[in-house]
Amino acid sequence: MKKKVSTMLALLMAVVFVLSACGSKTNNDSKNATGENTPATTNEGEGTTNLKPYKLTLVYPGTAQKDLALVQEEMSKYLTEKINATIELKPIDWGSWTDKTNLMKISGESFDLMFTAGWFGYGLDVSKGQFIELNDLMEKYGKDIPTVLGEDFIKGSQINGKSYAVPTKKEFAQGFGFVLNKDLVDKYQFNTEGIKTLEEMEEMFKTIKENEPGIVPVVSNKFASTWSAANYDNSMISRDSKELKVIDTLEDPKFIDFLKRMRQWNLNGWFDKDVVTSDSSGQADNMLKSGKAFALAQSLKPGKDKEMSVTMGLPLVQVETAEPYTTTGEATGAMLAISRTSKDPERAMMFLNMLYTDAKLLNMLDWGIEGKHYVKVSDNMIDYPEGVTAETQGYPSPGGWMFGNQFISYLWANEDPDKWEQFEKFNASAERSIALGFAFDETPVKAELAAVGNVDKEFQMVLNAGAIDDVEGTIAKYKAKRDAAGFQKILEEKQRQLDEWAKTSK
Amino acid sequence: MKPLASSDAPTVSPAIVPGRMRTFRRKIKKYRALLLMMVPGLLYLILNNYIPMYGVILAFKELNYVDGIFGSPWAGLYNFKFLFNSPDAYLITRNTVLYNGAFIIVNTCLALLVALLVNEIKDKVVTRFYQSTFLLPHIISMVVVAYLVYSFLNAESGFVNRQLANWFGFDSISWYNEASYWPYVLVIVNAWKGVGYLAIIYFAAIIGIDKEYYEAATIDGASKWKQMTRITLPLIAPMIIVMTLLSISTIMRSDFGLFYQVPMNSGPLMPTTNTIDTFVYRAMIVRGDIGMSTAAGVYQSVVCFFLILGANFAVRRISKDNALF
Amino acid sequence: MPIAARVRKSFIHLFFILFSFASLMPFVLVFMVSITDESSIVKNGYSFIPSKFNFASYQFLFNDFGQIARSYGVTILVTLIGTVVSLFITALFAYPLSRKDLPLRRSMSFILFFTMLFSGGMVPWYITYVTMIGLKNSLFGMIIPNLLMSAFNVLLMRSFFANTIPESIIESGTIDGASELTIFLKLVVPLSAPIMATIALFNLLAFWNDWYNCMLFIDKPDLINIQYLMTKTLNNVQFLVMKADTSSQAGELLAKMPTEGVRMALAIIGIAPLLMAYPFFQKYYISGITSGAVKG
Repeated sequence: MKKKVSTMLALLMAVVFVLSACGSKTNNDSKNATGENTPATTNEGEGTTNLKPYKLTLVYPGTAQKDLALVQEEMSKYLTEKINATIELKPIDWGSWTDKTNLMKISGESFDLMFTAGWFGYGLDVSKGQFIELNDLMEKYGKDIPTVLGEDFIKGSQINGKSYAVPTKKEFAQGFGFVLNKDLVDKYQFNTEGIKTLEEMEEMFKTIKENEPGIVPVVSNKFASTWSAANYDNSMISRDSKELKVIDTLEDPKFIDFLKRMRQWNLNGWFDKDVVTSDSSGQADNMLKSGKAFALAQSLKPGKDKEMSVTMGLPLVQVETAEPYTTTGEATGAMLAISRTSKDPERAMMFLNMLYTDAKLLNMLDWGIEGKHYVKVSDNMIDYPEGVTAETQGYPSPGGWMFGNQFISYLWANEDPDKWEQFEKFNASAERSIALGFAFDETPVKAELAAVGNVDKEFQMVLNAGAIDDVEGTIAKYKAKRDAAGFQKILEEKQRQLDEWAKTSK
Repeated sequence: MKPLASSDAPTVSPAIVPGRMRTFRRKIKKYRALLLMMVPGLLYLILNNYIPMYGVILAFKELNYVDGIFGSPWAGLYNFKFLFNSPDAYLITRNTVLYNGAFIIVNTCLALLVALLVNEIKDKVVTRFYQSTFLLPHIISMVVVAYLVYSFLNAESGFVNRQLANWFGFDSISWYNEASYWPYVLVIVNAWKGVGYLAIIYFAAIIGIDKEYYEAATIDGASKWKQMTRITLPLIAPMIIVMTLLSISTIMRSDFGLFYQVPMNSGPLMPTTNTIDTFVYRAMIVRGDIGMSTAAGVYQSVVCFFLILGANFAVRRISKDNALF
Repeated sequence: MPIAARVRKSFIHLFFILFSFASLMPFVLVFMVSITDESSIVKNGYSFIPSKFNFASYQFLFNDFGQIARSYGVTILVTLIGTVVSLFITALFAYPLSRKDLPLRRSMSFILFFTMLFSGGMVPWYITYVTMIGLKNSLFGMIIPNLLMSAFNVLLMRSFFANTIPESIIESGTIDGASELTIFLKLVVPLSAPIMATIALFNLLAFWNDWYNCMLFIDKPDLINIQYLMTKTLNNVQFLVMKADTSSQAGELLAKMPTEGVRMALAIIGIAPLLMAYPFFQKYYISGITSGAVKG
């Protein structure tokens, strides 16, 4: 019975879709001339006159705040005015996200919008049909989104030329390097300006090792992953390469040299003793906090050092070891998608559109209610109201990076007032990967990927941390075991999909 | 599903119903009250366990959300492939079985020792105190246990390397980097957490033994040791057999927290800490694929099923009453 | 002989003192860490005698005292109802199984035992409860699924009944013309105090410690139990650690998670009432066991 209803619904939706798609085309042509300057107002006009009341549900990872209900109410009031909708905010704890959302999806629970990301199951959910295609909807109800985001973001997040989710406008590239303890940098007068080669970094580590016996030069082996993220797109295409050719990083001499260098670092005593586990146990952060460490590998963006200085509680300074780089992973770093179980995808898209244009709505979601959770100190700068601190506030931010246009989100009083301009510059200057927009569909080789994942886990960390004597021997063992798990088949599949993508995207 | 026929007026002629059937019906009627007692439990099993069993087909499906569990296309045995194609297939099965074997032996011996010794203490207040402490490790979660183990073993500032190494004069060890120590570490941690629980079960069984046996034995001048080995152990043997059979039924499963969280998911330790469950979990981080994890569950169940059938058969041959079914 | 006995006795006590020490120590350690100043953890690692005390973790947690109190309420209610109902169903199922003359005995045992081997997995199980009975966001969601009757406990109880209840008692009841239910309630249950107490204790612990059902079936903050309130922070941290390799965002979130002290304080808050109530129900538990011994 249930099944019948849902197939009926699906059919109905399909019909509505086709109709609306047809309608939108003719609509658009005539509207284009007049509508372009004031898209938001036309939407509002439509909204208040002939929309039925509807409750939107927004599902995203995070912990429910004490004042969540208040913020929800306030947002609903505002949304009713604009698009005659109310909203239910539904945060799900990070730790239970996988279980809970899997069950929601498979049991067909109804919800409208869901957070997703390349590293958070986006490709998988699309291949399983959870998210609906947004191209037509966006054309009709989300016209402002492409304007705000720009071509690169939209292209980068598409799968086979179709959008299934809209990315948050935020930093669009990753910088790579370290954050360093600023006191030590000042003490030894290290120069942290510009891009540093590994040799220059080694000079610093050597100085620290020789002069500061109680301090570990580099904690954690995160540097290896940062380094490969800076040199390879998704561990498969070399950044230097001009052709779309999938490579095995373990056969790349550059990578082997790097692993040998890590071995040398380890022998020099530059890593901490727990280097294999110190990232996951949180010890790496703790050592930096307590001044027992000099450097921590980190992916970087403008102002990262200032941000971390606050959370770590001591002055830090960032140093880059490679130029910022943009891959598909960046474009799909944080997105919102519309569920197949949404009863009103059009309204969901209208809401999405507002997240990119309506500062009032977005800031409510990001920071709560003005006067209660924050006060304005200038046009786009805010601070805690009197008597409220980070510990006692009722609506700690769910994370502005998850929703809409972060560039219209308010900045805190202790932040750089021109943070967003710096971001714009950073985004514009970053080098684009030649495979930007290619997303690998894992379905054909999922069994092989699962087996290889275990092999990686066994060898990667040891090699990255230089914790083993015979680097080349270990690589050989690693490769043999990986091949046994079906690695070559994955490579071939990647190359095949990449070739196909190259054909269709050019 | 027929209503129980009354024996006075059989609805079917005796020629058709064989005699065995008739006695069976009569028995059912006689034990109606007992069978009715089981109804709530039976209904619960159907709801909680038997209805959801259709989910096993997920192991043979390429699931997508639009078509749902039944509508998704079949995938044959593809979901099993990642388990058996892996170079680690043998290693993880071996680790799982050997660890569980070690746990069964170590925990049973220790728990019996504890239960027997507690029984020797006559002071009630003291007994109560000891018993209270037994069960404590059982009630904390593995996540917390992982933190505790870490506080002992971490290389930089752990209790073992910082204090014990000084006291006893051995070199500090990079625990999370050396696979060879972990079989011992895991057996110890597991015993620490599980022995109290098992001991309480055995203690309850010992307490149930009729005191007259001991009185008679004391009159005959049997030593304490003889009483333990000749009276107590044989009399609680059924309980030991049941507990061991139950443990065998989970011999292919491993406590995820113990094997994943306690070793801090450290790569170099994988040769001695990777089990079927951690393998599946690590594989699932890449893709949260329900089909593949169901397939792994089916594999574990099938192996256990045959193991337990064998074990139960063996027990039945020795003592019919102590078999599970 | 008396000397030998005394030596033996001291050995036994020595054994148990060591055993108790090993069991208790980690709790003391967790508690000490929860009141240790962050800087002291970083400097000296975990320690029984912190160089600097700090109760900030508890202050931080008790900012939201209302939630903690409500969650305790939920846990206590669920644990009480669950333990009683569960003990009842378990005993009613186990007792007939222990009767050697019961028809269908082997099949019933097998039906029970089979559930320990095979399961359909979480997905269909969840769908059954949510769509068939609508347990989402209901207190029953924390009572019924997977906890109400464990096959393991039934088999334990069955084994106890079969081995310690003399058949003559049941026969005498039958001769007196008592119904099966009366025999069970009036004759068998009083003789089974040890196993009843043990199973009740296990049930109680299972209900108290359960956070998984709460995670799956409960969305409303009003209905969250204390274990989930405590576990979710630890789970969040773990999840983000896992994802930190693949996303720079996860790393950032991780830095904002509560400190080690807070996590340990959460652990303490989750187990404290159980530890405090422990000596009290322990008394009944032991007397249950010993009363069985006296009568047996």
